[in-house]
Amino acid sequence: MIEKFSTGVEGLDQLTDGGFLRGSAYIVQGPPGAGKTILANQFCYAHVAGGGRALYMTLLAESSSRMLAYVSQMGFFEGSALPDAMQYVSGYGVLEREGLPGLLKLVQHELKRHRATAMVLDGTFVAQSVASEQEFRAFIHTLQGVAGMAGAVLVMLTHQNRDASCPEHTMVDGWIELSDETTGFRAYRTIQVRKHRGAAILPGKHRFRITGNGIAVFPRAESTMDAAVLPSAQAHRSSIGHRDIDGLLQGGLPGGSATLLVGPTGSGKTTLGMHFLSLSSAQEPGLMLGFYETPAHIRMKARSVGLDLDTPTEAGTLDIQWLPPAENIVDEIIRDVVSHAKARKVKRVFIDGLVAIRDSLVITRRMPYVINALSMQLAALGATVLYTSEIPELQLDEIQLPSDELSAMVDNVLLLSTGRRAHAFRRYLSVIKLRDSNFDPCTQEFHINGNGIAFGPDPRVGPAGDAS
Amino acid sequence: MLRVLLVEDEPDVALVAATVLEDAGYHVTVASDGHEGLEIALQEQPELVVTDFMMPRLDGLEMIERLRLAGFERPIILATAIPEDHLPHHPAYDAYLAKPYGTRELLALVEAFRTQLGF
Repeated sequence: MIEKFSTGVEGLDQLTDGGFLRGSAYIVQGPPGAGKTILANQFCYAHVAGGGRALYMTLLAESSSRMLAYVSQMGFFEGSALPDAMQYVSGYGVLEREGLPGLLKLVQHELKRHRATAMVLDGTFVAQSVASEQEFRAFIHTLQGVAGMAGAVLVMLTHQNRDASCPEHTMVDGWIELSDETTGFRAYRTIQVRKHRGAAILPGKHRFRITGNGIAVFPRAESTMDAAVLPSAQAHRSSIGHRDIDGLLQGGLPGGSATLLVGPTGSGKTTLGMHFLSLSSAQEPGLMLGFYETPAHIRMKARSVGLDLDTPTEAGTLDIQWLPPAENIVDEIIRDVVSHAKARKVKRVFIDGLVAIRDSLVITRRMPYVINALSMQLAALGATVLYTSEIPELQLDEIQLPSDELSAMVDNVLLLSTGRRAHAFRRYLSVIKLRDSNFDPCTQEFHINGNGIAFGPDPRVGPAGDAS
Repeated sequence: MLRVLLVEDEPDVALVAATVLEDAGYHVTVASDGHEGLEIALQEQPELVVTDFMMPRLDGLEMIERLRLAGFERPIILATAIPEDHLPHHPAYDAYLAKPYGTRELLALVEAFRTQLGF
């Protein structure tokens, strides 16, 4: 079994099935500004932190001192690694004077001199520009041999947009592509492992971002689904936090299930979610992720309808998180929710506002698969999850579920509808779908008072008469 | 005219530094790594050496060590992106210049040595 070295980026380790293989050569390709240099440096410093030795050789004319000054601001930088375990040298002069044969000798010499187990060759396209295609192919081939003999990982950076049929891509052990893409006014970064010999990669494009701590890669949630950790059916019921609604659900929601609360604005979706969260306890810790209301606002809103979210929050058994609905990376949200749920053994999750998640997706067709992936991962942790989804106001007689595949991807669907009947605004609750269970099919009128949700019409307006 | 040996593997840095020093009236020879720097220093005995640290073939500190062993006693400025407190204990250089440096900083330091050497 060939030893693997972490790439220094957790998400990229996932994409590459554990990292770079010792003694192998990789190409990292991407346009200027795509993050190649940061990725390569991050790899080197992680390698050094793990006891390895790294060498960064640039073939670019520009100063690596300037690059180092920039890299030294990043969270992964470790000054004490310099100059012993980590070194920067330029190969530009040798390439210019002695061509590829001289550069090859230099790489061999430097690998040996530094006893490097990881080497980055920045600006590989410069080497290509001074030689014929055949010479360059021979150069790559020999470099690969050099890396293999030295037992080192060689990472070659290039900004050239060469396609899969180019000789260097067929020869190297791995090929990673970084891209800057734009949809409308929105720019986003993607990473794709195009090739990695002997590894079960996560194929396709995945989002990444560059922060002060370097590169963070977020594998597409649906691509990380592992059949081995799929949840087993749970027999217990999880109370929704309301006795009458639990009655409609044959005792509560199936444990570990995913429920969609669908309804228009003002139909009571968030209030029902707060009922669910009010049962958060040391045995069943809760987590809420909202996009439109701050934690303070949510707690105040709960107080106004007689629901107590303060006690579990102050006891540390409920965590209310707020994420402004900006340009979020959905896979990052999912990763964070799942890791939070895992760390705190969360059993009650309420995600208020699937619209914000859908709008954060570059490809909105992913939505049902993303939600399915999140639900499955939470279910594997024994957590029951509620989502809210906004739909236009409906007339009770014209109920139609959202036409997308979302409903099919969740276990339970509760429809909260509104209507104006007998001169009053009224709310109705219907169970549309309940996993492996019978349920009460009757639509219930309800209102919201100082104790939260209460079945029956608001006493102030009386019965509608024709509501069924 | 004070002769300066500039040992630098990064062509851009070498070009800019050499031009600035030449414009200020110094005679500059450029070496692109420690090996070349060692050979030129021993052969030409420049009055001042300005050397990078991290270079291929032979790094700046190794070059300084070999120069001192060979009896080279002229002043040497070590210019590197590595903070001085991260450098291995090495008293053999005479001044430290943090990279990336500005031309004014380089000139000021070289000028100070010129005065000290009585040129």
